[in-house]
Amino acid sequence: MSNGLFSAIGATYKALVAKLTRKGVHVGGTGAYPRVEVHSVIEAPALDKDGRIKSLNCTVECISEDRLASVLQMNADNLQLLLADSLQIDEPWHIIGIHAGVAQQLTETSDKNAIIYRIIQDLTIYVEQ
Amino acid sequence: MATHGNKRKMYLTTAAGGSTYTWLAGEQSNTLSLDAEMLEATDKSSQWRQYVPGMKGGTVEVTVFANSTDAGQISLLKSLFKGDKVFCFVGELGSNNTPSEGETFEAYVSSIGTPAENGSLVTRSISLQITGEVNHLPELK
Repeated sequence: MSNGLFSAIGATYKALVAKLTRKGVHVGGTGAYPRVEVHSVIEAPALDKDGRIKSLNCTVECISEDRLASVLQMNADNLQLLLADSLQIDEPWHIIGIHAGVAQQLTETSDKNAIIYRIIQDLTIYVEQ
Repeated sequence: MATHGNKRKMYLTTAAGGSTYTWLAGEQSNTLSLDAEMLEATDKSSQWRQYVPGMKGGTVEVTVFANSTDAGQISLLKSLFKGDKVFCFVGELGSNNTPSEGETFEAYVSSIGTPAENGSLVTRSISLQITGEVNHLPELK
């Protein structure tokens, strides 16, 4: 029997970080570059009456001080990892599918006048108990 | 007292008078529509039209997330493809998992629409034609 009150936020965040972690790219919120950040995970109300099917929106952000091509390639690699292969998630959830939404590119100047390149990629993830 | 829509669900059982009711997995919404034919019996005794209730019937519209492994959805597909009758309950189960408040009926599936939109989950919009008597619970006296 499903538990409609059980949140999938933690399991989804953990699954994304695990899948995106790879050699040469730091996944996390520290100051190291280049890095990928998984953040802003939003869980919508259950889509079915038993609370078994949910959709989550999250942001996967690529950040580099190197050059624009670096973050573009990181984002492409992220999508390849997330969309091409199955994503493992903790019980009781399993992933139904992942949809890549809006991707936004930003170029900023840090407080040290360094140029920071970002790709902000929205994802919609459907999970089911 | 008002009822939350999530609590009024569609269930299927395997035969008339079945004891095990299983929720139709992936259900998003259901609409049960009952109607009674009105037979006009107007005569010259009044200038107001008069009617007598005639035959009754009903239909059900249910939307689910498509699930190819759910026994309930498979039975609804078989109803369309093979003409099998399905045995349904729409309402709330009681503490002993038997129908407590709602309607039990038998039906045939008359249509299934399956939209598959980019970025969304596949759904099935299923229409059922009720056949025979509809029983309301608790019994209407």
